[in-house]
Amino acid sequence: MDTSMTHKHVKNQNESSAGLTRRNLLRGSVTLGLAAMIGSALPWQSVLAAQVSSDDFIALSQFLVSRAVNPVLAGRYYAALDKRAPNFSTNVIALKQLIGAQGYRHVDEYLAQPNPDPSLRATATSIISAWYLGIVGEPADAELISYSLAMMYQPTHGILIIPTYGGGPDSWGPKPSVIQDSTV
Amino acid sequence: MSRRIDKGKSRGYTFAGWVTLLIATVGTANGEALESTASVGKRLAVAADCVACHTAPGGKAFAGGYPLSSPMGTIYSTNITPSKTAGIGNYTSEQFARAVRDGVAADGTRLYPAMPYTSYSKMTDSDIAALYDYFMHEVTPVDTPNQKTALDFPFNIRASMIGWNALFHSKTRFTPDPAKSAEVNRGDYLVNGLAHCDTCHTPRNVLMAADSAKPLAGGLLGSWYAPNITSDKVSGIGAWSSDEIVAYLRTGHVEGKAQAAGPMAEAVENSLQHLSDVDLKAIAAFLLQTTPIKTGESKARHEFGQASADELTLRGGKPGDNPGWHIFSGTCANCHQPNGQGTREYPSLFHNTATSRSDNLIAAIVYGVHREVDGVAIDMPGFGPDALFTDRLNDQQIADVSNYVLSRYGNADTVVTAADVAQVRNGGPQAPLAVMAKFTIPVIILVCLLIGLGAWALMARRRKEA
Amino acid sequence: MSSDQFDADVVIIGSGVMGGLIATGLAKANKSVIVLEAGPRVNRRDVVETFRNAPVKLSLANAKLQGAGSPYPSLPHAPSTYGDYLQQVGPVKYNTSYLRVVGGTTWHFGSSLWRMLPNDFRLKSLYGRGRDWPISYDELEPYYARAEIELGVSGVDGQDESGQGGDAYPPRSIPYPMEGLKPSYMFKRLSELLSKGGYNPILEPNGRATRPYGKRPPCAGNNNCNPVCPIAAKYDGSMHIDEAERHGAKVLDNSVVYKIEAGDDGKITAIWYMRPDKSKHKLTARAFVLAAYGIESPKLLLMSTSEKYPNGIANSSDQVGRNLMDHTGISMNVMTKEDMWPGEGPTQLLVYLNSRDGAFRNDYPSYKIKVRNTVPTSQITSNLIAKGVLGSKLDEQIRLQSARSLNWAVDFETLPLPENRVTPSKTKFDAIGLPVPEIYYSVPDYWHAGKEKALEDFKQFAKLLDADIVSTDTGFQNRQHIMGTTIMGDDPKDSVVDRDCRSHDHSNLFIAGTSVMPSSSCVNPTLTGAALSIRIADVLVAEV
Repeated sequence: MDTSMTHKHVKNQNESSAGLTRRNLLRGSVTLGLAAMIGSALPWQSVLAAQVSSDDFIALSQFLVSRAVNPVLAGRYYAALDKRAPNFSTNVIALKQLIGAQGYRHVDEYLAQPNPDPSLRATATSIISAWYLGIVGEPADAELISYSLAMMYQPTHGILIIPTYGGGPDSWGPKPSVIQDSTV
Repeated sequence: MSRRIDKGKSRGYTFAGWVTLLIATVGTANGEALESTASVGKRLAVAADCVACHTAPGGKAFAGGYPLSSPMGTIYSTNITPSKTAGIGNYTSEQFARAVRDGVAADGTRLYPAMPYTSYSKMTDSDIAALYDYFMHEVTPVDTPNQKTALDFPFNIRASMIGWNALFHSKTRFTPDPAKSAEVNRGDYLVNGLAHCDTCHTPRNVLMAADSAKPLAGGLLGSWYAPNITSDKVSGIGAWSSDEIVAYLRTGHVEGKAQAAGPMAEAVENSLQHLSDVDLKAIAAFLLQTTPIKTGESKARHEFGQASADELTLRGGKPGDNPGWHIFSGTCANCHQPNGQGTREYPSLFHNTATSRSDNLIAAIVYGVHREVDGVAIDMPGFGPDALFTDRLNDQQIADVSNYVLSRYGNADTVVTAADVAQVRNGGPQAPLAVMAKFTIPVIILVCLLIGLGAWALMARRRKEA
Repeated sequence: MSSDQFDADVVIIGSGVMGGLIATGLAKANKSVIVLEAGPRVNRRDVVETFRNAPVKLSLANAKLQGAGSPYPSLPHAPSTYGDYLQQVGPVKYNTSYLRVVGGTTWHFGSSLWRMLPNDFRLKSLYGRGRDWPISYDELEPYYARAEIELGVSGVDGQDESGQGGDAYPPRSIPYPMEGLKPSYMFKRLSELLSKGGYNPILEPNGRATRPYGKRPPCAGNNNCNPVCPIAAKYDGSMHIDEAERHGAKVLDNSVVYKIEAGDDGKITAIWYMRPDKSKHKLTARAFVLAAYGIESPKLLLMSTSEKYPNGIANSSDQVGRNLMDHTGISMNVMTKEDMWPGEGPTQLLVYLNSRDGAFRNDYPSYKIKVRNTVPTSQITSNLIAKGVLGSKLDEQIRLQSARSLNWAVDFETLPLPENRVTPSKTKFDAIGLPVPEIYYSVPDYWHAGKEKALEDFKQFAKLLDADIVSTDTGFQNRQHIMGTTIMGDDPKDSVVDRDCRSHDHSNLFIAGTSVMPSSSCVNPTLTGAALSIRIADVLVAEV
């Protein structure tokens, strides 16, 4: 059950309908790798809020969830999150700056901060929550963007099915095999 | 032979080109394994799949009464149990051979080629003798009398078959080709004789005879299509390995290539899964050395398509955003997975011959896929008129989802309309002969010609013998 | 087929499993049948897609979410019971839910299909509690058999379903129509560990096909039985509506029955129904079947007041709406120390019935312990994120908790208490002006005594599984098994229907389903209601 997250070269026939406007602030190339975040002198041209490039959000997302993320979904999540939090875009930029400035290589390092800025932490949480649950917003006005592509199903991929998608009449019985049993 | 095995449901199929099967159930005993002590005759009967057509739904084995619907009317199979009153209990072995291989019953009645005697005609004398023994001694006699077959005029004139046979039937028994290996010859005997694959897989001419210029190049089977199984690497199965062909025949499924449905599923279930490894390999060997025949495909049937990425954009939207996807997601993806990739148990929709052309795809959606192999039931439900109302798809919906599937996972050049779906549901394109049958006068002339030809052929033979 | 005199031979109110079974039986016998359904038709793919697209999803294992995210339509004239349709006026919330769509509530049931035990029919004589049934298990047994074939039940032959680990019980005239589902790894492992404490594992009979059955494919582990089986492997009432229609029954959807009328001779003459546009329509028939499940059926009877029947139709006993029962329960969440992997195969299968029957029923109720087998990932993830668990710890915990967090639940038998009742509200009305149901429910000491016992079992389970109890919920959980509100009995003074489910007051009115049950046992009541419905169909075919 591959998802697009593991398919880096998925041909997407409907990309244009994603609803993402490419508001390019940065002219330079922005790589998708995590390594690019390390100590790079990302030329932040301006902190005039609300001008977040899709690449920025993709890069930040990938940092926060430690996985490659799909650009189409990134556009949808961004739009949904931005709609619901007035400071969202500013915080995305600020988070990126913070991560760059501190040289964090992995999200755990960011999370280990003793006194995190609560507003930024809330934004980071909302981004992680969106990617993992596939849903943005509170029950009253929640929006579902992904179901089978929600990242929460990744840690048990290949063992548990995603509800509603069956494996077949013979798909359970033996002990599920995992690479290593976790010990807590 | 072309009959769906389902627990009690009725469906239509097309057999041997233009004949449609009305009802499709068999009682029991087809998914069972052939015991190792089975006689030669029994094995031959399984390979030739007599039981499929000579058993009425819910009826006793070989007691006949199975209705085959043809454009000319319904043909009922006969009782071939050794009953002395209702079956073939009084047949001598010569009469049995003449019926099976030449299409002539003991009392001289001509059989319609719904009985594939044109293929069985290749059976060797020793095989036909063994088959006779099986029917006389191992089959339980059943005294159910035959249901009369009464085709529309002028096809009810059985004598016209004399002319037809004169034109199209050869009495040449199988003679091995010395230039080919024993294995290939065995395969030839099976494919063109006993297992009569050519009956479905060879296209038919206007008079419903096999087109000998295009052997195994593909034939219409009413709602279904029996594809090109010549060795052509693009149009046929030349790109398949021998192991893959064997696996397909034995199980009805090859990962990343194809799965048997409709009439082929029945052939696998009733007959092919029971053939020995030697025989299956022989069939494969024969097929892989047949003359390759091109039938216009742009790509090998199993090479179309890729996984879909529509979940990225369409999930969370409204059904009206993409009706084909909505049906696919709510109906098909439950098993075939959201990107069409399948699982260990469900086939992928791309790299799957079922999505390389529209007819078999539509038929699979309408009728489902049902076969029982090694006692395990493979079951994809159908979504046509027989489905539960909560799951049923109408013609437009089937067209929408077919187009979705073809565009994402299959042959994107193919487009399906609701009318195409209706045609499949109604038993496929109409036979030219049936169309002609509407114009009785030309047909009467044709039939008279055939009778005349037949009479001439008989006289010519008598002169020869004199 | 109906005469000039009547619109149909039989009018059936409610298109769920009970109405569907009776409609099929009658239609096959060439009787003319009209089935009325308050709500709309739905099709499977729409329900599945609505479910997938719903940001808030129903979940059985999380009782708090029961009020949200139903993928079934909520229409003004047939509002969803997942909202605020049901009014609660008692000390204990009777948080039930049922579906008003063609095919009824079995669309989203888990499909547990149990026979009651012989002793369940004699609670009063044997244990001094509740009521006896006027019929015995032996009388109902042939109908249980037919119901199992009609619904397509898969089960394990040879189990001691009384939970004592003995020989096959109760007695059966047929084997299960289909062999039981293969147990998952988790079920096997749990059985092994709990057996050490004397707990006898039972795999419950249920409505999931295990081979192609009619038009149903076998269960394929889509793990979504509630709220909908995506592939129609699990039985639901629409399958009988489908069959009934193929045999000539007529189904009127979006038709809310609001009044039942009787003539001077006491026979029911007509029913009145409303369309969404509030237009009113009348139907007459020789006989009538009320099969609208245990809240709407009594409500309708109580709404049908007249001068002659000031307490409503079929209510000379004043028992209509009373004796409301459920399998009010409790649950606990545990975390095991080894991977179990709930979520493989069907959403439930393994149960423990050590406390299904015995002298203890004098003092506390019979109960069933079951383990949920739903893929728990989305709730686990929501909870973790809410607690601020992010980063690599989030993945690790999702994987760990998905593998090790188990939810155990108990279903208790409840007693028919006259004060527990359904009445039509006098203050709240739906969009077409009909009163909504008002429910008074309470729980007696008998139940609390059972709760204490079950909590001890919970502790034992945790020990045997070497698991930590994370939380326990004893808050009177509702199991949506509505029973008792049109109770069966021999005495017209204290019961609504007789042993044939015929109204004591109106000889051509039958009430089908679980609302007639005089005792609840601790097992799911659908099969019992279905058996009784087949019996009703037999009577009607002979009489009408």
